[in-house]
Formats: sequence, C-alpha cells, structure tokens
Amino acid sequence: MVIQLLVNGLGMGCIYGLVALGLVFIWKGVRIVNFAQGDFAILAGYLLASFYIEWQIPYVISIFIICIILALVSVIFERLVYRPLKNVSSVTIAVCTVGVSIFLQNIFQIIWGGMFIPIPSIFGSYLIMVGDIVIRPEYPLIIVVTLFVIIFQQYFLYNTVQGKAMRAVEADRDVASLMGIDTAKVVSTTFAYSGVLTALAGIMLAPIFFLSTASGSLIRLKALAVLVMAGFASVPGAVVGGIILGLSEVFGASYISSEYKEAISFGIIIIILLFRPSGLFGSTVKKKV
Amino acid sequence: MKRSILFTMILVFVFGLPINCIAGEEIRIGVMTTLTGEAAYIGEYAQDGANMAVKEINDNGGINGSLVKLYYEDETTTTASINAYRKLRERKVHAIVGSIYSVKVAAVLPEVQKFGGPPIVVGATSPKIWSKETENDWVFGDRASDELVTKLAVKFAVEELNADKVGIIYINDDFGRDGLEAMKALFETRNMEPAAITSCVEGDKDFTAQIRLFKQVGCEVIIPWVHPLEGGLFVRQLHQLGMDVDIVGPSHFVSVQTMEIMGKDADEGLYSVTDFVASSEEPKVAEWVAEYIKLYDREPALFSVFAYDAVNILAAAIEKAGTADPEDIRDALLEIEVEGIIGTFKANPETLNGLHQVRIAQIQNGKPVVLQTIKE
Amino acid sequence: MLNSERNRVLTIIIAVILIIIPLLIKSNYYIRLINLCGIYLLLTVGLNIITGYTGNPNMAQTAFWGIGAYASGLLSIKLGLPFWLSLPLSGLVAAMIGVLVGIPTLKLKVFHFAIGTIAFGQIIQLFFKNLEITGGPAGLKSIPTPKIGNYVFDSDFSYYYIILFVIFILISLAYRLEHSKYGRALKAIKESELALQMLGINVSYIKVLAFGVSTFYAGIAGSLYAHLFTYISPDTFSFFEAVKVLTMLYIGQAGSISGAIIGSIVLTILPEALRFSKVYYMAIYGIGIVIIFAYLPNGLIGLTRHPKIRKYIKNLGLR
Repeated sequence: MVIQLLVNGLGMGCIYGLVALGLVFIWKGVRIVNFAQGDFAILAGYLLASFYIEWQIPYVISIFIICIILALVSVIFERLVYRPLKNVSSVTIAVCTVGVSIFLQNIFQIIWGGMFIPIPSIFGSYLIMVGDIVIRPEYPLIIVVTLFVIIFQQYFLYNTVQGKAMRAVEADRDVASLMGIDTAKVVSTTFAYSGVLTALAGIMLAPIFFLSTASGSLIRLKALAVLVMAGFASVPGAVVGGIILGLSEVFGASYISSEYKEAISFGIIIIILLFRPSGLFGSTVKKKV
Repeated sequence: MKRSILFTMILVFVFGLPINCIAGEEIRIGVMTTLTGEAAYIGEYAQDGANMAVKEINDNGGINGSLVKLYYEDETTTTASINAYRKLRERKVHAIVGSIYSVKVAAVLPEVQKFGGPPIVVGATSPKIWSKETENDWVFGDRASDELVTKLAVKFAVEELNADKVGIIYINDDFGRDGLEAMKALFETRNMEPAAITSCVEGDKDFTAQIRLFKQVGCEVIIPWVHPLEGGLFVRQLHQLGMDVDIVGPSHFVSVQTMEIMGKDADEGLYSVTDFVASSEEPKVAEWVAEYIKLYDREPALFSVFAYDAVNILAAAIEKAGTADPEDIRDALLEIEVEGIIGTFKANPETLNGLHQVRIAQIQNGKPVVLQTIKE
Repeated sequence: MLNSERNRVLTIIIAVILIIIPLLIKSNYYIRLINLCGIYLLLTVGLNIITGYTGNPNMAQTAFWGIGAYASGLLSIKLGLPFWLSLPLSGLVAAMIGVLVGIPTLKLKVFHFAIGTIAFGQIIQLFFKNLEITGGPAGLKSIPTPKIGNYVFDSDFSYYYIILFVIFILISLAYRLEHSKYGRALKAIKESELALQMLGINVSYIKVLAFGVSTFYAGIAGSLYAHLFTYISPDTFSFFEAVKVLTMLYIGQAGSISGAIIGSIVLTILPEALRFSKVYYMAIYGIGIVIIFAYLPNGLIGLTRHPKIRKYIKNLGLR
C-alpha cells in the first residue's frame, strides 16, 4: 500500500503546488502574498458548479469562461486592493487580502448557500487500476496540466516580448519603467495570469475537495507552506514544494498520527523559516536597508 | 486622546442602550443556530424547520391566543453562543431552541443554570450533557444521547452483522472522541476489543492511510464516527478502493447531503443508527416531508426536523403552562409528552433528555429504508 | 477654561463613568460585552507594543491569549491556586514562551516573521485541541471564579472591577513604556533598524523584550477570560481571532495606545451591533478590513487628523 500512499501524496502535492504557483506569480510580480488565493480557487469551483452542473454548459466552454472571469477578478482585486497600497508594507496588504478572503467566503454563502456542493468527476466513476493500486484519473490530469503550464510559462517568459517585460518588472521595477515598459500593464497581466492558474487549480480541485465556503482557508494555509518552501519566488520550487508537502502529509498521517497532520505543514514552515528563510529553492533574500 | 475615549464611550452607550422594546402580547421563542461560517447550512435548514412550525402554529391561532415570533441569534463561535443566549434572555424570550453542537451546549449550560432559564430544547447528543451527574435544570434534549446511539451501533455490528473484527474511525473533536470512549466501554462490557481504531480531522480529504489500516487488519465492519463531509468522502474512497465491508454510521449517514458526497453505489448497503430518515414510509414522517418539500423545494435534513419538533415541544409546554414564567414552562416541559417527527418526547426527570429511540436504517437501491425502530 | 483644567475635568468624568458603569447597565448581555471589550483591549494594547511600535506583525497574539487562559485555568484546577496567583503567573508563562519564540523569529524579515507567527499560532491551537491536559476539543470547564474571603466574583458586574483594575495598571505601564527611552527606541525600529544598530543599541534584545511584554499582556488577558467564562475551548484562539486583534490595532491606529483602546472597543461592539444583518455582517466585516487597511492606514484616529475633518470638527466648536 506504500505505492498507493505515494500516488495519493503526489496527487495532493500537485494540487497544493498549482495553487502555490498562482501565489508565486503574484509574489514575483508585486511582492505580496494573497491570502485570498485559496478562495479564488474555490470561486472557480463554485462557478463550475453553476455553469457546468446547473446550467449544463459544456465542460470545456465552462473552463474557458471561468478562466476569463477569474482573470478579471484578479485584475479587479489588483486595482482595488493592491494599487492604493503600493507604498505601504507588504504585511498591511496581506491583511487586506485576509479581509477579501472573509468577504468572499460569505459571498459564497449568500450566493450558493451554506451546504457542500459535490462536483461529479468528469471521469464519472472510472478509476485507473494498476494491480492493487487505485489511481483517481484527476491526479494524472493535474500532473499533465501542471507540466503544460510550466512548459508554457517557460516559453512565454523567456521567448516572448511580454514575458521578458514581466521578468524585467519583477527584477527591478524602476529600471524596467525607465526602459519604456508599461509597468502598470505588466502588473495587471501578471495578476490576470495568476487568476487563470488559480482557476485551473480550482476546477481540478473541485471534484476532489468538495466545495464549501470555508475550503479556501484550508487551501490557503497549505499553499502558504509551499510558498515558504519555494522561497516565495521559485516556480519549480512551488511544484516540488507542493509534492513534498503532499507526500509528507499522507505518509505522516499514516505512520505517525493523523491528528497532528496539520502540524506537519506548519512545522515545515517554522523549520524552514528558522534555518533557511530563503526557502529550499530561493536565492538569498535581500534585506531592504 | 481623552476626548476620543470619551467619544467612543458615548458611542458605546448609544449602541448599547437596551433599545429592544418588548412587544406586548406575543410569544417569543429564541433560536440559537449557526447562521454564518462553515456550518451555515445547518442554520439554513434549522430556519426552514422552525419557520414551518411557527407558521402552522400561527395559522391555527397561535398559543392561547397569542402569535409566536421567532428570534434568531448566531452562535458561530463558543463565545458568540454565550452572547447569543444572554441576548435572547434580554429579549425576554419564553423559551429557546438551542444548538445541536455539544460543545456550545456545554458552554451555555452553566450560564442557564446560573441565570435560571429560560428553558432550552437542544439537539446535542453528547453523553456528557445527558449524564445524571450534570447539574442541569433547564436544558432539555430532543435527540437520543450518543450513549444510546453508540450502544446500538456496536450491538448491531456485533450481533446482527456477526462481526468479529470491527474497525472504528473517529473524528478528532468532542463528538468523535465522546463516541469513541462510549464505544470502547461497550466493547469492554462484551469482553471484546475493536480490531482497529484510527482517526481523522475536520477537513481531511484523503483517507487512504486509514483505509489501509482497516484492510491490513481485515475488518468486517467499520463504524465511522465522523461528520458528513469526512464521512461521505471516507465511504466514497472505501468504495473506490474496492473494500467490501459493512458500515454502521451515525445519524447523518442517511441524509441527502452525505449520500450525495458518497456518490452513487458507494452507499449501497450502508447502515446508520439515525433519528430521522427523510424517505421513511412511516405515515407521519412521509406526510411532513412532503409538506416540507412543497414549502422549500428541497428535502429536509435532520436540522430542519429537529428545529420543527423543538418549536412544537416548546409550544406545547407554553400552552400547558399558560404563563410566561420560565419556571412554569420548565415544569410543563417535565410533564408533557409530545409526538414529534423524530419520535416521542418525554423528559427523563434526571437527565432532562426527552428522546429515547433510534431507527436503524439501511440504504437500499439508493434510498434509506428503516429496518427497525428501537425504543429504550 | 485652561487646557490643563479641561484635561483634568475630562479625566474625572471618564473615571467616574468607568466606575459607575455596572450600576448604569442592568443587562447581563451588555455588561458581558463590556467585559469582553476590556479583555480585547488588553490584547490589542499588548499587540501594539510589538506590532504597533516595531512593525513586526505578531499573528500569534491569540495563541498566547490561549496559553494564558489554559495556564490560568490549569493552575487553578490542578494546583488549586487562587485566581490572584494564577493571573500574574499565566502572564509570566505567556511572556516566557513569548521570549523563547521571539528570539529566533524576530531575526527574520517582517514578512517571514508574520508567517512564522501564523504557523506557530496554528500549531499551538492544534495542541490545545489534542492534548489530554487541555481537555481536547471540548476544552476546559469549571474554571473557578475569583474570590476574596467569602466574596465570590461570580457575576459580570463584579468581575468588571477586576478587569478595570488590571486595565488601569497595565495601561499605565504601557504609557510609561511608550514615553521611556526604551519605548522611543522601539518606535525608531520601524524607521530604521540599521541606524539604531549603528548607535550601538542591541536591537534584537529590545525587540525580543517587547515581544515578551506583548505576550505578557496576552497571557493576562487569557487568565481574565478563563475565569470570567469559566469554560474555554480551542476554537476561541484561532487565526481568525488573531486577524481580528490585528484589525483592532489598525482601526484605531497602530503605534498608539489610545488607538488600540478605541479599535478594540469598536470591533468588539460592532459584530454584536450588526447581529441583525446576520449573514451579511460577516461579508461587511471582510470589506471593512479591506477599507481599514487599504484606505485608512492611520486608522480612525488618523482620520480625525485629516485636514478636511479637522476643519469640520473645528466648525462644530469642539476644538
């Protein structure tokens, strides 16, 4: 059964990784942590419930629309919450995002009601069987999608003008604007992209996690742990960190104790912060003097 | 700075002055439930049930000629539930429909003892609340204590299902732990031991580790003492992993919501020791469910039926007492016997719990069917 | 009227009102609310000492609140200590743990410190929920009420005076701290840690000390809470509450004691006052947080210093 645990841990890990990727991008773009990221993912899930299940819009079209909506939501979020605060401490902004999270969770309740909404898997009850091992088809799908995302990202960031502009802004905003880059537009694009990433994560999460208004809080803390592991700014770090977390949770629950499973994520955060604050993959964090 | 403090104090007093004028001739019943937060769906269902009961009462002329009005207060956290109780007491409600959360009831209990009422009917089931040692003169119960429920669950697993190896998975909160303690004690009295015990926490999505343990030990029956979301996912994954075991679950395992999470087929053959089965064929229940669906366009949950019965029990007591005096109403609650949808309410004079029956249901062809009704 | 005279009169008015509040209020609900204000006030004023002055956001303040509450409860239940002993002791316990936590974490950048304290807070809450000794998820009950001789403080009305007394002492302490050399150094940390270090001040030392003081306040608040409610459960000491206390600090004004006082009172009363809107009040609360932090960086007090508003107040003749 160890292999079964491995498969599940990997799967869960990829989910955490994908949400953390969205966080990493926002961090790379504007150096803030969005505590409402988990709720954005859940929003995508709720929208899926409405579009795909209630209104019977075909799956692929639903995904497309949801990605656009989430991109828009991210940009609105940037304009309303991030822009006025650009020059204030990142902590203040982070607390604001907690406020957004609370707001969203209650909006979910008002619109979709307080009950859990189960989303049927697009695979029906089909399961991949390899000998004794059962694999939910969602997991390989997540892995494939994540790979695609990474490949696409690498190409975009390194081989296109817009991508290079994004990297320039992330490296040094002032120099970038001096070079004629419209930093405001780039920041908005970064947020929009993060929104799309989160939408994908949420859509794939939904059949596994089962939507409820408070699910965002659960995801948020896990994604935060991964973010810390990734040193905040490392794209491969987000994915690898996610997998590490997923595996340690599943194996920890099995061999140590399931009550303290949550403590694993937090324990990881603390240990990394104490001994390697730049994360497992990050470069040295420059201190602002 | 002192100015600002003074200003704030004035603001506080303006907000704080008891501006709740008490309307004269109405019967006020308070309802404490979770209106916000993760468990908000419980509040939604409770409102449906309570409103339905009040509408029926008022359509029939109210109680002793006065109309009933409900006052809802949110009890999302334990601190908030104590505040809710105090606020309702301020409003001079005649009686309260209380929480189904044992932790919140345990918090409010000493308060009600201290202040002397008003009487509350709760849906909490922790054996700690309904023990004879608990000092309690005001809080009545309308659901069978977990002591009875776990006893019957274990009995069913061992006697009717003839299991030698019983596995238990419990959720790590007061509900799960109390259940586990009660079950362990029951096994001891039979000179047996559960074959495997494991736990989960709220929010868990993956139960592979726990299922692995049960498989290793070779359990024939599993008793999952968990909440709807975790329970649903657990059963679903159990089914996906192809384990052929019997499941004896707590009351919500036959609710529409949990079954939806389990998914089709996963729930087939599952047993539950429950208070309420929406698809029951008992005439009284079926009639009520049909009425509820007509009103609210969805199937009722346990929380709705509890709120409905609780309002009716309180109404009966208020009618009998004939006065607004909390002690009189409480005394009436000790005397009356009310036929509710969940069962017959007749308060035990020592514990104040009025419900002493459960139903054992099994899901057959996707619908829960009542196998037996057991009264103590 | 001279300013100093006016000040004295105001102080006397406030003091008198504070003393007779329990006589003015008849409702158990409202006096309980006021007592809660007092407890949150202590938490927020404590938080101000580390977060308000130095800018290091302590997201574990409510965890220390819990540590104080459980410590006090357990000291009274298991060791039979009277409230008057367990109160200061639990403050000390919280302070000691605070110092231990502060030493490694305050070396981190502000942001990492925040996340570290979040993680710490969550782990502590997990311990509360799972350890045998803390009663597990059901919490601790039958915590004894304070008494002097034969007089028992078992009603909110009498307990009020205990809270008032403790607040009086701890706020005076906070003021002393703010105006001392130590306080000034703390406040300067926000501006430039480097400059302070160059001046030869051991910044790490004073930061950790500040953290210890701040958690001391939290521990005291915890003890007061435990013996008032006589029943504590882990769900009270959550991340959500930590955010609430932080918001209280920022609504008022981070870095000012009166800001902390006002913020804590407003945010304790507001959710209760908004009870009527039930489902919607939480959504409003969420937006409120955004507005406070995004658009009112100096809190409500900062708002009153805004030129346009100053003119308005002047015209009302209040100046």
